[in-house]
Amino acid sequence: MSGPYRQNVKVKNEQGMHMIPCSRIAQLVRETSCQVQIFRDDQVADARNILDLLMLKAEVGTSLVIESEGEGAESILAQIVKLFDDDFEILSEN
Amino acid sequence: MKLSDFVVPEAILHDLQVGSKEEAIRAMVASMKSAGSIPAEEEESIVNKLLEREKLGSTGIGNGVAVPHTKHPSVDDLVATVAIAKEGVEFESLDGGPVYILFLLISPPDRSGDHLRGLENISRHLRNQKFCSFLRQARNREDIIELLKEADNNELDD
Repeated sequence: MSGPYRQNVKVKNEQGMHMIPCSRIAQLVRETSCQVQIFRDDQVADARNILDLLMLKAEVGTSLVIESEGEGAESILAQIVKLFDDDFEILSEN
Repeated sequence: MKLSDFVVPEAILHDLQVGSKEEAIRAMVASMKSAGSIPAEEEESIVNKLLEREKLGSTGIGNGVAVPHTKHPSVDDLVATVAIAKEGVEFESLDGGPVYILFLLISPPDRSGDHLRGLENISRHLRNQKFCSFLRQARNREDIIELLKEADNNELDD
């Protein structure tokens, strides 16, 4: 089954969804042929596009909805959710 | 937030001719120093922070655009400059291509909200093909200042 799949996440990073988190997501999605969209209320970002993701301006605590569709959609969604859960594995960032 | 709120006009470089990412960052920070928007004695420290940030992942985000940025305690407000490299600069970009348009941001460490708003503002304009295309055609600093104003006033929207 190729979806669509959906998960809710919350931004844990104190600095919000700055460029490193956005780049990590975009890089991950670009390795697949999946369609992945991230919603903040009525705003939507194509997860392949860093500029789109930055425009969500998601600060710490913001609730987001991730939807994925296409080949490997379930796996890519799980990987993105893990990035959020692991706080993007950012040790030192700015 | 508007571009004119944080882009320092005097620091804009319309014809950046450099051979590497580090040279590009150094030239842009030097221009901010000359414009008086960062303390002269902090220049090297700011350059080093920007280069350290690049090691975490390139800010060359594809489509010929890079947004090098850092937080630094020597600034009280978000400050930025723009540079256009007509020949392109190798920046280890996400899409592997050279960058032609660079926005460099420095923000105070305790103002992550402003930092995000600055990035959001720049991102919104960089998604506009007209804005990017006209920027790359700019012949002087005044052309760029005018374009930033037009972007702020949404005069370039499709």
